[in-house]
Amino acid sequence: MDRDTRLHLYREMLRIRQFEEKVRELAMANELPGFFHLYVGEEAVAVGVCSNLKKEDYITSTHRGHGHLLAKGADMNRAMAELFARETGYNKARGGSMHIAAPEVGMLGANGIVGAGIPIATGAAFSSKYQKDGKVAVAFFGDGATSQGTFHEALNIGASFSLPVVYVCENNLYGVSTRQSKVRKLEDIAERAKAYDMRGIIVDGNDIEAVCDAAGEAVRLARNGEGPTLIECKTYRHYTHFVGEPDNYRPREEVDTWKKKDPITGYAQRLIREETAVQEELDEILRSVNQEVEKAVEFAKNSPKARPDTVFDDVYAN
Amino acid sequence: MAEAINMPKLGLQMTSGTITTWYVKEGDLVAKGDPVFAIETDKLSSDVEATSGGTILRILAQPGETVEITKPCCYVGEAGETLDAEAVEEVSEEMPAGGEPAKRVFCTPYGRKLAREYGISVEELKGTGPGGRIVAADVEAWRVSNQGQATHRARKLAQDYQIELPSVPGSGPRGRIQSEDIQRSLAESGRGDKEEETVVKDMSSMRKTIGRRLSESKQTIPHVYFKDEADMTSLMNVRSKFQEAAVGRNGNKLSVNDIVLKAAAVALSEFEELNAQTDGATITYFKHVNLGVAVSVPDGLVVPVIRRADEKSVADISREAYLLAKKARSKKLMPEEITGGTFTISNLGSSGLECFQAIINPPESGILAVGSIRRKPVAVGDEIQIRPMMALTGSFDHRLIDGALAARFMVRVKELLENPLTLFF
Amino acid sequence: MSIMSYSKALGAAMAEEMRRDDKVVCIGIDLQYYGGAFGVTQGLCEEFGEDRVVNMPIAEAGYTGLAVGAAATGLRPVVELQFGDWVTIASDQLVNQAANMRYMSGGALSVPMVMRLPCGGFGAAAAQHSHMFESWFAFVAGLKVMCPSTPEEAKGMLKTAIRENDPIIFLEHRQCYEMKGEVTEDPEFTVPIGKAAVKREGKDVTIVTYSYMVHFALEAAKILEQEGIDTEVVDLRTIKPMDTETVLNSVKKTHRVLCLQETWLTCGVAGEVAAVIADLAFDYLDAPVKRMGSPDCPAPFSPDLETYVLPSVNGIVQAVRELME
Repeated sequence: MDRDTRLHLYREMLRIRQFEEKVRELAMANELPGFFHLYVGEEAVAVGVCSNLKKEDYITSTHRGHGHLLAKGADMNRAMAELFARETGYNKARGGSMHIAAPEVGMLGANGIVGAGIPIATGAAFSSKYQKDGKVAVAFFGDGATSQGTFHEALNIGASFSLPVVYVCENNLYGVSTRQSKVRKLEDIAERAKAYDMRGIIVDGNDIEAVCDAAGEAVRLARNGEGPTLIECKTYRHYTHFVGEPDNYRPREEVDTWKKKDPITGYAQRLIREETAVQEELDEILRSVNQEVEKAVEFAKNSPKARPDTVFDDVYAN
Repeated sequence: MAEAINMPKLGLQMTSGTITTWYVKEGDLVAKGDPVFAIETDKLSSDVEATSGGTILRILAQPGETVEITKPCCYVGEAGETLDAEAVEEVSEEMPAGGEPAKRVFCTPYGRKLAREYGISVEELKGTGPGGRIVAADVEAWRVSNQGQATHRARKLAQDYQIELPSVPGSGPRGRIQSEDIQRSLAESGRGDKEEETVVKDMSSMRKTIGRRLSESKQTIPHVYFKDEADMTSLMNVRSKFQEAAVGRNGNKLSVNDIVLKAAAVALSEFEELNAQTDGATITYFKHVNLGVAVSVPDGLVVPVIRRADEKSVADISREAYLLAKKARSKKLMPEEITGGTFTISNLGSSGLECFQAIINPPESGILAVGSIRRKPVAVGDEIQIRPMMALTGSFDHRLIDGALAARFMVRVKELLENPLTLFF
Repeated sequence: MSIMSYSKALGAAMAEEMRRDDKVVCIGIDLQYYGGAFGVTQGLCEEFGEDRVVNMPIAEAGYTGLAVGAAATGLRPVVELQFGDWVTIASDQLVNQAANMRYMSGGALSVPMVMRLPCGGFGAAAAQHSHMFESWFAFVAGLKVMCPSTPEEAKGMLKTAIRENDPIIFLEHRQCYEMKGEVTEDPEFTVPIGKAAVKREGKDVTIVTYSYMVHFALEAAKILEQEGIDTEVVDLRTIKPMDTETVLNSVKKTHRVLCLQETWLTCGVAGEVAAVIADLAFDYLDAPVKRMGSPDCPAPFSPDLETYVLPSVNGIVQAVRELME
C-alpha cells in the first residue's frame, strides 16, 4: 500500500476519532440535544470499507453512524451542524445523530431500528443492478442486527439475485449491555453466509489494512456482478453503548485489552515502524484534524437554529 | 390585529348580559379604559371599558341583545382593518332571563344555529326528535307557524290589530320585529288611535325574572300564614337612644327595620328548622343565618342577603342593609349578594299600610311581612292604652315547616321586638 | 371506454405506468407467470420481463425494505403483498423507514413506492386473510392511504399512486376484484389523490365511506329512497390526505351523517371522519354523528358468523332510519 493511501487512511480514522471525542465532550457539557452512540474504537471498519467505495456508491448505516458518514466523504461542518440541530445540518435538524443521511455522498441514512438498513442497502443494490449504473451498496450493521429477521431476509434476497451489495458486520461483542455470545449460538457471524451460499469473511476489524483488503475484494466482486459478501469485522467500542451510560457490564480487563489494540495508535506505530511516516508528520495530521473539528463546531454554533415555521417541510413531497 | 371586547363575567352566576347602551358607534376612536357600552343582567348594570385603544371596527350586538359571557360584543383595531368574517359572526342569543342556570334544552347544533339565525329562542320550542330533542325541523316548523321573527308582545299586538307580521320591518336583533315596530307601522298607516289608550312594552328582563320566580313560588310552595302585632313602645325608645350613636358611626339612620332584622336573625338562629332552603326534594340547613332584605328598586324588587346576620350587631346589620339597598338601587349587586338566603324580611312600613302578606322567595323557608307602626288602643293588663303597634305577617313553606313551629317562631320574634334591649348586647 | 374488472383495471394501470416510466418495477410474491394471487399482475411479466416483475422470497419485511431502498435510489417500486393482513410483517419498513425517510433526511431522500394490499372480508378467509389496516397507516405522518372502490377509480388511483413521490398504502378490496365497470383507455386518465367523490347525491342524509362499503351504501340508498329518504353517498377514495371539504360540504347540506367502514370501529377511519365533522361542522348537525363498522372481533371463518359481524345493507338502512328519527 502506498504512502499516500496509508496516510489517507490514518487521517480518515483520526477525523472520526477526534469528531467523536468532541461530540462526547459537547454532549457531557449538555451542548448537544439528544443522545449519542460513539464509534470510537471501530474507526478502521468504516474507513477500511469506504476507502474502496466511490462517492456515488451507497451505504446504509446504524445508530452508531457518525463514522460511516465521515468515512463516506461527508462534510464535517454539516455533520456537526446536524448534531447541533442547526438549519445547515445535513438534514436541517430533522434527523440528528441517529438518523443522519447524506445522499449526495451515497449515505442513505443512519438508522434507529436495528437491522433495518440491511434490506434498504439490498434495495439500493437492486436499484443499481436494475439501472445498470455500476454502483455498489454496503450495509453496515452490528452483531446484534444479525439476530433480526431483516438480516436473514435481506441476505437471502441479495444472494439469490446476485446483487452488488456488501454486508459489513461490526462485531463489537455487545448489543447494548448483552454479550451477544449469550444470545447467539454461533461464534462467527461470517459463518451465516453459508446459509445463503454467500462468501463469508472474518477480518480483524482493528487492522485498517486488513479491512481495506477484504472490503476491496468484496466490492470488486459485487461490482463485477458476482454477488454479495458478508464481512465480519471483529472490533470493540471503547465507550459504552451511548454517552452517559455506565460501563457496568464489560470486564475491565476486556476493555483494557481492546484499548491496547486501538486501531489508530496501532496504525500510527506501524507507520513509524515501517518508516512510512515520522512522528512529526503524524502530529501534524492530528493538528490539522483537530482544526477541522474545531471549525466544524464553530460552523455549527454560528449556524441558525431550525425554525418552527419550517417544521412541516418535507413530511410529504407535495 | 383587531381585539374583541367581550361580555365580562361579573360575579359567579352570570352567564350572559344584555347590552343596554352603546357609548360609541362604529368608526369611533376609544382609549383603553374608556367606557364603551353598558350592560345589565337581572341583577346588576355596569359599564364595560375598552381593553385596548383603537377604532371601533364592528359592533356585534345592539341594545336589547343578550350576549353570553366571554363572547365578543365589538371589535377594536386599526381603522380600515378588515375582520375575518368567521371571527365576527354575531353571537347574540336570547338567553332565558333568571338567576338560576337555565334548564338544559336538548337541541341539535343545527337546530340551534337555525334558531339563532331566525332569532328564535330554542326554549320556546317543542322537540320532536329522539327523546324530545329539538331538531332543525322543529325550528322550521315554528318559524312557518309564526310567520315572521317577532317578540311575543309584537306578535300579540299584530294579532290584535290584525296585521301581517312580515309586512312590518323589524328593528330588533337580526331584524326581529318588536312591539315598537308594530306601533310605528300602525302610526304610519293612521291606525295608531288605540296607541294613545294603551302603551305596550316588552317586559324587562328583571320583570320577567320576578314574574317567573314569584309565579313559581306561589304555584309550587304551599304558603301558610301567621299574623300578629308587636308592641313597639320599648323599641321606639331604645331606637331613639341609639340612633345618634349609630348615625355617627355609619352615616345612616338606625331604622326600625334594622332592629326587626336583628330580631329575626336571633330568632332564626334559635329555630334551626326554619333557617333552611328547600328545592322540594331536599332540605338544606344552614349553620348561619343569611337574611334577605327585600329592596324596592325602580321597575322591580331585589332581595340582597346579609350573610351571617346571627353573628352581626344591630349596627353592623344596619350598615350592611343600608349599603346593600344602595347597591340594589344602582343595580350594582353582585350575583353572590342576592343568593344563599334562608329567610327574608319585607318591610312596607314606610307606605303606611297596616299589613300585607308576602310570597316566599324560593328556595327560602319563609318571609316576614312587616307593616307600618300605628298607634292603636290595646289592652294592657285590664286597661286600654294607646300603643305603637306593628303588624307582622309570616309566610312559611308548609312543606318543611309545621304550623306549631311557625307559631312559636312568630311569638319569639314578637317577644324580641317587645324586649329589644337584648338585641343590642 | 371498455368494460373491465377492478383487477384488470389495476393490471392495466401498472402496465401503462411501466410503459411510460421504466423506473416502475413490480415486486412481490408469485407475480410473474402466476399473475399474483388474484391475477392482478397477469401478463405483466410477459410484457416487461422478469427484471421488472420480480418474484421475491416469502419475506415481507425483506422485500418491502428492498423496495424502500430501491425507491430511495431512483426506482418506483410497486409492491404487492399477497394478502394485506401481512403488512404487519413489513410494518417497520413502512412506518419507521419509508414514512420518515424524506423528513429525517430534511428532504434529501424520497421514497416513491406503492404498497398494494389485497384485503377485506366477506370471503370466509378468517382472521389472517380478511382484515383491513387502513387506519393504522392513515395514522402515520409521512404515509398516504388510498382505497379505490370501482374499476375505473382503481386504475386512475393506482396510476396516481405510482406517480406520487411519497410512500402510498393502496388497499384493494378482494370483493371488488371481479366487479366490472366502464374504464377509460386514456393513458393519461388519473384520479387525483386526496379527492373524495360524491357517488350519489341526496339531500336528507350523508353516508361517508370508502372501498367495498361504497357499494353497500349505494344499495342501502336505493332502499331508503323508497322510504322517501334521499341519501348522499361520499366515497372518500383517499383516506389520507382526507378530503374533508367534500365531507363537510355534504354534511352542511344534509345535516345528518353515517360514517361507515368495514373493519373494526374502535379507533378507525369512521371515528376520524366523525371527529372532523364534530369539530368543523358542529353547527350543521341535526342528529348525532353515527358510526358503523365491525365490532372488536377477529374475522370469523364461518360465513354466518362473518356476515354477523360485518356491516350489512340492512344494518346501514336501519342506522340511517335512526338518524332520520
